[in-house]
Amino acid sequence: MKFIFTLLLLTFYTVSFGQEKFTLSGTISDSLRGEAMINATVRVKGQNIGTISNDYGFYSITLAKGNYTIVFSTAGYTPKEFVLDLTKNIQLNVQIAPVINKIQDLKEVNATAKKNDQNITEAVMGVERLNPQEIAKIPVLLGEKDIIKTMQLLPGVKSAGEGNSGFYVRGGAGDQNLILLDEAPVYNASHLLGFFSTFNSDAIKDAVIYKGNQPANYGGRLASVLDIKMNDGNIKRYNVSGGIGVISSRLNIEGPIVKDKASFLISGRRTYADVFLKATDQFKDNILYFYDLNAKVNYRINDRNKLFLSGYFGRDKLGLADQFGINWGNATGTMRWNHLISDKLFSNTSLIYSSYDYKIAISNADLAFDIKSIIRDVNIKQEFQYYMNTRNKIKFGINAIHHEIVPGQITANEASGINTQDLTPNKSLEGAVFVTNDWSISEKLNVSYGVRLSTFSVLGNNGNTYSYNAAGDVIDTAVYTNNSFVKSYFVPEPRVSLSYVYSKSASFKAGYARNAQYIHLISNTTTSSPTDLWIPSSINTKPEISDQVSVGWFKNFSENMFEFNVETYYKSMQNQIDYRNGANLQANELIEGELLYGIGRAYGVELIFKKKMGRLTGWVGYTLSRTERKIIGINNDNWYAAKQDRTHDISIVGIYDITPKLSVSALFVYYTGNAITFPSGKYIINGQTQLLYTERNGYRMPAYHRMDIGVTWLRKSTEKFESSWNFSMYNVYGRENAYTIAFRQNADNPNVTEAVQTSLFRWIPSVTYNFKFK
Amino acid sequence: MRGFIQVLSSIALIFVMGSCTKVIDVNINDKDPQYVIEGHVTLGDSIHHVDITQTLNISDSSPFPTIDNAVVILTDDVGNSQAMNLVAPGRYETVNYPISANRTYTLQVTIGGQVFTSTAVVPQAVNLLNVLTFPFAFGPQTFNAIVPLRLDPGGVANYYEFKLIKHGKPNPIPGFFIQSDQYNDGNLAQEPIFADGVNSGDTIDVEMLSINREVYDFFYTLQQNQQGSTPANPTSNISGGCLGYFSVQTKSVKQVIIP
Repeated sequence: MKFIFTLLLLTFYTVSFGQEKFTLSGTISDSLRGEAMINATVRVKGQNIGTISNDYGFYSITLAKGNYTIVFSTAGYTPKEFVLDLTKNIQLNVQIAPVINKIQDLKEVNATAKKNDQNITEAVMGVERLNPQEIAKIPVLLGEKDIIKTMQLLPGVKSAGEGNSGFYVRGGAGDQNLILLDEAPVYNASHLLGFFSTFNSDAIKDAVIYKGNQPANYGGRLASVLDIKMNDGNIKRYNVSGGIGVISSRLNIEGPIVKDKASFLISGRRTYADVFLKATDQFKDNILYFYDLNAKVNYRINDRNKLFLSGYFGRDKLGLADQFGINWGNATGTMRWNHLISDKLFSNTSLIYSSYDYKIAISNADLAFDIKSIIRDVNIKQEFQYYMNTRNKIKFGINAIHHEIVPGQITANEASGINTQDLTPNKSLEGAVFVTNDWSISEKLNVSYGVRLSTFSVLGNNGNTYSYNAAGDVIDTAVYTNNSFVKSYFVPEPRVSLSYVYSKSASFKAGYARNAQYIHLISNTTTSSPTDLWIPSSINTKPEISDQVSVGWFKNFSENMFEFNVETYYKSMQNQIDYRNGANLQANELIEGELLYGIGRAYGVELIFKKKMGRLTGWVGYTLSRTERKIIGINNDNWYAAKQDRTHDISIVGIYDITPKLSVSALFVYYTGNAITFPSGKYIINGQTQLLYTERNGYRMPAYHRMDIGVTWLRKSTEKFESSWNFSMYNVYGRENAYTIAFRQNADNPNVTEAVQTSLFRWIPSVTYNFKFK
Repeated sequence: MRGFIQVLSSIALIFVMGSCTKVIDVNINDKDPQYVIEGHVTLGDSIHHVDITQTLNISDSSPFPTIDNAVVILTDDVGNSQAMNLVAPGRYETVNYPISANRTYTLQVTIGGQVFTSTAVVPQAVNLLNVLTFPFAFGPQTFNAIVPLRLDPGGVANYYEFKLIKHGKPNPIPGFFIQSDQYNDGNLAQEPIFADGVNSGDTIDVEMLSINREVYDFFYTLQQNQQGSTPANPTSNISGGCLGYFSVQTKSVKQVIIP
């Protein structure tokens, strides 16, 4: 830690004086839609100096007085050059044009991509970036393109199971991923019990995943950050686009409110399986659907000030007539103000709201009750980016989050005989101060280092606060007055990563990061369940802490046409949480008495080989890994494999453009089955056969593999209208992958116990029609 | 309530996709046999019994072995002690041993030098006031829910186990039907029981047993094992390293005819 401050100070002192310097700054945007370009490259031609645009398209570069040719470029866009006489500070807003057709302009694309060697030079590791255009042609389940499911095809990111949008990163649990939508945390990122993610690709501009080595401006989760950014909305002209699929339809409307000044975007989705159900006699009373809505408005007040307002609202409903119903969903809202303090100092202020809730309602005759749970965050973030000189970029800021969690409130009428349980919400305050510096020490050596000082305070709520003994029984009950500080934690989180570019097309990287996590998800189901419960750190539950070290080798071939990356990591985790055997996790006021604590470790190697240009693009990814836990009270206090432990994980993705209008794609995945607890024996209780278990997660599910194919056919493409068809087949060879394995008594001979495998999804075909009015 | 969510989730799955099941071979390790002791001492009954069996490997398709050479002794806290007699393979019974409210009972089982013991108090007796039924249409099927009515004593934690004995059947309906007063302490509770094979016209004896927390937890874990993702062996209230439970309980019975 001290080390980091020393480095920071050192950087400030090494600012060279002497020759006169000027700053070139501005924003980079798409020439057709006006969308700000994230991560676009700004390069001084003939010199190895450059920068990249930030999340709002802003760039700033400070150079000595002189004559320069500056090139602006990004993948999929025609590069743009400017010749500048830098004798004063210059503001230059640049618009770059997308390459409309990949094959027609193959030369141009290749020209752009050739310079795209960020993977080599950037001192950031364990990071993957995707944008929805890139993934549009990859086949997906039920034709609903999904950024999270595509992420799962990258090494180090594992799917939570068949068709599931939950994911595990580098041995972390599902709740150890911070999922952000326009900076707002999304607490339950799945619809329909996991089969769809909450992210509608139409509304998404960019998605980045950091696999543990996240920069210091991110915090709050151990394993990863998935940072998803919504489109701003076309500021040039109106667009109506959409898609009609077998299970859902989408509609996206965007356009200028005031041309080149303000724009809006509204994007919605709804599934309609319930419409078909209504037509059947058997299931006509069933309710089963989800919808979601993304909306955004942005207003460019002037060159120095911009305002963004964005929101998400989604809901799942599941029920049976008016007897039972469960509905759940997220709501987020983000208000952001970009302010340019100077040509070198960029400021962003965010006010963020985010909530997740579920409600179960049961009624029958005169009996009625419901259970509600909610987590609600209000979050303030102030961030500065200081483009000090061509060698140093500094990001610093503060962040404060107020969490409020109602774990399970029961409201019941008199006739039900159930007591109304009105729990006072848990309140807590999470805060952080962070600073990070990207420093190019030399042309070959880049380092990114920083620290996040995070705190968490449990606040009083006038309700009961319990302490527990080792057996999980309450030993003390205390009441703390509202908003008093009950308990505070402080964790300094240093983070460093560096890259050494030892040849033009190859580099070594190394990194270390510490992450702290203050809120935890308690789940007792295999897949994600809407009723999984978030609990804050407290007097009983300490913050989770992880330390990860990683090293990697990055190599590009054939002028960046091929990319080959190898990364290896070791991560140790403290204060990991599991629950007691036979724990009651539902609407339980004494839930912390059901929890057990311990440590974890995860390690592995990740390889990826990508082909980024040409008619055939795609990648081959492989992960070899292990993740284990040791928790007192589980598995005789010995190490055991975490359920997401998988030894091998392979994914192959290929997209081939046959003609400019027709392309085919295929993907293949193979992975070792998850660790699972199977019975080793049986016994009889009350005349019924029961299963006898030995070690936790001592067995393996069968290996999983599957191939999907897809065809994308661009039917019509004119100035005003575009339409395309997308056909796909999930699980082409109909592999029966095990979803669950259960043991039961044979119907004919109850003395025989047999294992029964349930599989989902064999040969799921789908077709989607997409359209766009421009 | 957890049952409802489970059912709803499975409907969702079935609708979205057709699932398929098949019997597969799984390579399972063998495990040394363990003793399984089930002891029942019921207020109001004069005969109390203990069943002793052994565990089997999963692949074994023989009946569960019984233990017939155990020494089983029941003692209370005022010095009444009785050795139980073997009356059938694995089954030991008392002869004329009345149980009194508020007393503490100790079960001691000795098998070939190994000693297993457990101590429990007679829980507060609660009466079953009535049993209602209601039909519950679930898609094409109709379930007949059985609703035991009990006035739960307030201010204390109470635990219940139900046995549903269908007339004309030798054994109770399979399943662990347990309830606690976590959500209805002190109320006229009416939590429904969903059991398989309860049909119109059936006559059912509903036995409500007031049980101790340890026994409730034991059955709760077994119930969870059929649903949750990480199953585990239930914690026994019998010491000495065996499986099973010792339940000191009270009983209240009502009959219901499913309309």
